[in-house]
Amino acid sequence: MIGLNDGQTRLVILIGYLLLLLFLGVYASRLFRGTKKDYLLASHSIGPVFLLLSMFGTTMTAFAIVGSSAKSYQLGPGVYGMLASASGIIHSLCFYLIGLKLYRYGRKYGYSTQIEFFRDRVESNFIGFLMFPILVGLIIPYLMIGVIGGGIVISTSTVGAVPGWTENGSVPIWAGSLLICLVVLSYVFLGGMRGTTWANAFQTTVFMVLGAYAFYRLTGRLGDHESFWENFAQLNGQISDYQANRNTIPQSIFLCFMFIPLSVAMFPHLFQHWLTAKSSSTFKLPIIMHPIFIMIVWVPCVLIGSWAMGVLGPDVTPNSVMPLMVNKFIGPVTGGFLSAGILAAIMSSLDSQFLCIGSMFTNDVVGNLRQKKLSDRAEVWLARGFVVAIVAITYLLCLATGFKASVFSMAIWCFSGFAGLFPIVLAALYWRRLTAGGVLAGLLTAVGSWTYLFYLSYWGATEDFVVAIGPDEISVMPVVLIFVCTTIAMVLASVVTRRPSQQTISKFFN
Amino acid sequence: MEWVESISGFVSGLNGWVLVGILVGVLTLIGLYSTRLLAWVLVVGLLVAHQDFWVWSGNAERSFWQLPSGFVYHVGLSLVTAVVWWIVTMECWPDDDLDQEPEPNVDDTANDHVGGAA
Repeated sequence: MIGLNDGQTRLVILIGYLLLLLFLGVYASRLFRGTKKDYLLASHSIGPVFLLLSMFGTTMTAFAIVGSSAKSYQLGPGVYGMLASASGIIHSLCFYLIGLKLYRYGRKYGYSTQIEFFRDRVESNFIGFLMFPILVGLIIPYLMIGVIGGGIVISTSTVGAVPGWTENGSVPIWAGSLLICLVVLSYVFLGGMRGTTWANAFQTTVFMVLGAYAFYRLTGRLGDHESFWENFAQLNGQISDYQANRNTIPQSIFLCFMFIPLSVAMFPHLFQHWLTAKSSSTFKLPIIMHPIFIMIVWVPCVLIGSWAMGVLGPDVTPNSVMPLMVNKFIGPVTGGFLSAGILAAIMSSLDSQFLCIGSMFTNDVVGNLRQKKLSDRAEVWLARGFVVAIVAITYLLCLATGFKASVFSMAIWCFSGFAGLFPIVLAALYWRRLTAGGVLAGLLTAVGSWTYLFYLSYWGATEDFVVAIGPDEISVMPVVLIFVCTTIAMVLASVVTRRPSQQTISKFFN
Repeated sequence: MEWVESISGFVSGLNGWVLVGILVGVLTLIGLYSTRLLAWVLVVGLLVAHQDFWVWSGNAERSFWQLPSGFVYHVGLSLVTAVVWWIVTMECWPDDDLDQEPEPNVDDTANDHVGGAA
């Protein structure tokens, strides 16, 4: 752009994009019907295309864009099989087996959060109070991934934009992260679930279209030929045999990674998105298309990460690989738009997570503690207040870590915790004998084993932490151990405690 | 014996295709028996196929556009996954009676407005 250097051009594009999102939030708020159901669930009005885009946008985080390229930079393209193709199978399986059933119960009995379902299913208020801090505790690292990832993208994209602010004249990470928090907070605050769904759908489209275009441009810039396909083959040929042969990923670890995507079944923000669906048949399109969408996003990210080892050399901070490749080899305008696309992917998860925490606080804590029911107006304001508090807490925690945590590692710990809770939701839907005692034992075991393993990894400082088991010392990821321990504890405790009443069994199984 | 060698050579040459043929045959029989069962057999098949240990270690072979063959395999698996889920949604979709029902048990205090953007 005339008169602006590359960093300033990208900064202007990023600010323009963030303003557009704010406008979307304000517009969505004009359609707000004023009820709690509308604020939290968009009055069950979302059709298949919007549900697909919003659910996909919610599950694709900084982990998918920044984390995948960082990991493939280290391990090679085998990362695609480890996470992307596995997620395509498992996510759709969870949407079908868990999401669809929970949606039907949610519509039938008027649930807004998954805690309400568990309370009813095992006839225990206490379980709800116990689940709330566990889910919030697990989701906060997830939020931090987005906030840190967003800050890194803004900072790396704006080198030279504001001379004197930092050593290289970029917007500092703390300021980028703060900006992301404020924008997301604004449209969640104003537009609620409708604003969030619209923003998600818009942002998903943005990052997929811009991602494909930038991949095309990047391939042209890095290769020596005229044709895209010749350049593509040239760059793939430069991936070292060491990275290409997947010896970097042990087979047992590859198998363990199948457990990670199970986490979507227990994501509270995804539960809330499921409930926005207009009807159960709305789920068909997301179930079919989700693996394809994952492929569209992950293939370029993984390949760019793999190419980066040859292009940038081995000394780059993995988290910066994607923004560095974009900013170094693509012009400032396209680069600015792609950086906006990466931010889109990040923010489309943050918004749903902020909103769901507000919903859980309003419904599951305040709603249950108060004798007298609050008005819808009061509940909406309460949810908004709690969203603000959570944004502040998340940002302060990011400040405390110095914005230095590895996006990939933190995501894996967070997903491991949610995946460890998978046996509980599966049993709640398909096993009549599940009891409150079983859920209690399962929850405590999941939290206990997760905390113990996290402690063994020096609170996440050991990257790619695994446990060696058996005489052959097979490497196993924490997620498998948490999953197995939770299942055993839940089943044993359910068998020895009093089964739910016949009325409850009939409510959920007939 | 020459004829034994030639038969074994023929069989080992066809090994992969024979396996595929047997697999297709078995799946066709299952499909004829019950398409619902076939859908779930295919989902389990996806989970097994994902663990591609048979092309794992030391395999740095390249296929289309110099892409590592293991990578191409998993991209292909993503496409097959979408097809399998399409079959599942066609054959194993639950009765949708809920879609026709009015919404029960939801306290939607429609008159209690918060006031737009507040």
